[in-house]
Amino acid sequence: MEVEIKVRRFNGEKSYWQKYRVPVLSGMTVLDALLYIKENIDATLSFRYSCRMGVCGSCAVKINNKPRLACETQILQLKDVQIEPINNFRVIKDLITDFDDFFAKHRIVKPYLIRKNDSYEKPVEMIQTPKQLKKYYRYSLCIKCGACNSVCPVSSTRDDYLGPAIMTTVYRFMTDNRDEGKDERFKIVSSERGVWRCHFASECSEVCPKNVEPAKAVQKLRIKSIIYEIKKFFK
Amino acid sequence: MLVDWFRIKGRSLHSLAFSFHRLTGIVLMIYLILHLTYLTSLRFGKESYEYLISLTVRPETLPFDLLLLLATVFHGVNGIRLVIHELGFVYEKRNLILYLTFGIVLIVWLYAGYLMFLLIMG
Amino acid sequence: MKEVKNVNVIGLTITGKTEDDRVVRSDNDSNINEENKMDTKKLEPIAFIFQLFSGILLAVFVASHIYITHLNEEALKYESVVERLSNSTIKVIYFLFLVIVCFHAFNGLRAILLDTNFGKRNARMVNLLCLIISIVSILYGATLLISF
Repeated sequence: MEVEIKVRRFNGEKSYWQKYRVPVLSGMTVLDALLYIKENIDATLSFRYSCRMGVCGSCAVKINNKPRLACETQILQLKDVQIEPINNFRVIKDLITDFDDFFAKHRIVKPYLIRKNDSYEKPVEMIQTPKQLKKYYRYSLCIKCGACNSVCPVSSTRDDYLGPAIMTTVYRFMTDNRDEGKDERFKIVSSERGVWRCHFASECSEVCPKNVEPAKAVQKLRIKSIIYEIKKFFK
Repeated sequence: MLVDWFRIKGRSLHSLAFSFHRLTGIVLMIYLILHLTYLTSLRFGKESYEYLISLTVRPETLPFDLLLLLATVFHGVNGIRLVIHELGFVYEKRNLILYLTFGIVLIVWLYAGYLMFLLIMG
Repeated sequence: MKEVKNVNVIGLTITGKTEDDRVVRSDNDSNINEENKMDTKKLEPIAFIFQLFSGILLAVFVASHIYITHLNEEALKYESVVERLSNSTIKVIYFLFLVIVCFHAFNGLRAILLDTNFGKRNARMVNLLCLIISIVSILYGATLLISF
């Protein structure tokens, strides 16, 4: 069986649609089809991928207007296939988008455990119960594919807005019982470009390929920062 | 780009609700300003007020009234949905609550619109 | 090796001559301290909570306001409007309504403006502008209320 695939291409100057005919077998993913095109039809087609199994988050593209992981989308489940780069990110070439801003914002919120007394000479075991793990486990599954940021209406109009993915990361570390960096992270998250910009369009949760539920994390983070700010006010 | 606030192609109903909420919010804010200005006529006495009423409350303006009513009802009901979610409740049931919201908006709007229609058409 | 341009993200500058040699200079601390100086930042959580609760109150207020003004054909007559506004209890309720609706509307406008890059650049101006508009409209509405 042959399927026609429409790909949005961009060569640095102009952007245009190109059609390819790809023979498909059952079990073939969109990423497989893109690889087929690159190997057999058009070697100039550029896209990003790495693990081919939904772990790395490199291959998020817009398939039929919805951001998904190319490696986890079965091609035969779609009627026609139309592939575009995801929104809200600058396109570099064809399906490759610029994630520098995204990762830089990620770096700002310190996505690691912050400990007040962290001694490398005398390491101490950090104890965590299964119940404490369960509190943040879901939010730690984020693979930074950028799908949530690409559908967020605020991310598209304000470029320093942290976005759902980054705030989910913040919430993940905030709820971790081993972490002691609340003050540092609240400073960033409860600023104007943080939680106050979310208006619960909740589209981020709808498109997340890993069901991380960023919208829920942001709402909970906002309540946390309200309580934190009020407590700080009365101190 | 500001059009991204109103982009609904390929998105779920949640985005539609967001776009509508924003749009109706702007419409209602403009109406609030107009409404306050309009009421100035009360101070200028009976004639100017009743002239304005005769201009705006008549069968020809009923469609606009109904649209405004829809905006108000949608912004209100959807706003209550947002308050519930933003306070961190029933997040898991958000799809069901969204459908309920649209249903309630439709019912309230049709009923209130019917009453308004009866009042103006006499 | 390829030259890497400076990438500027608010609060973080990535500089470097080659790709391997990127230095991540975290100047976000100075930025954050600057934000701390702005009083608007402290008011942000209060504005958010007020927006929620004023929204709930408005749902009640607006529903009853529409109900009262469309009760019957007499409700919009000049005499009945003036009669309603002369009642001091109704006056107080309407004043409360006015304050809440003005706050909700112009805080909403502020949120919309701050969602854009324009709002990012002129945050202070947007905050001030919305505050002024809401105060002016509250005062203007209040003059209407006290003239009866």
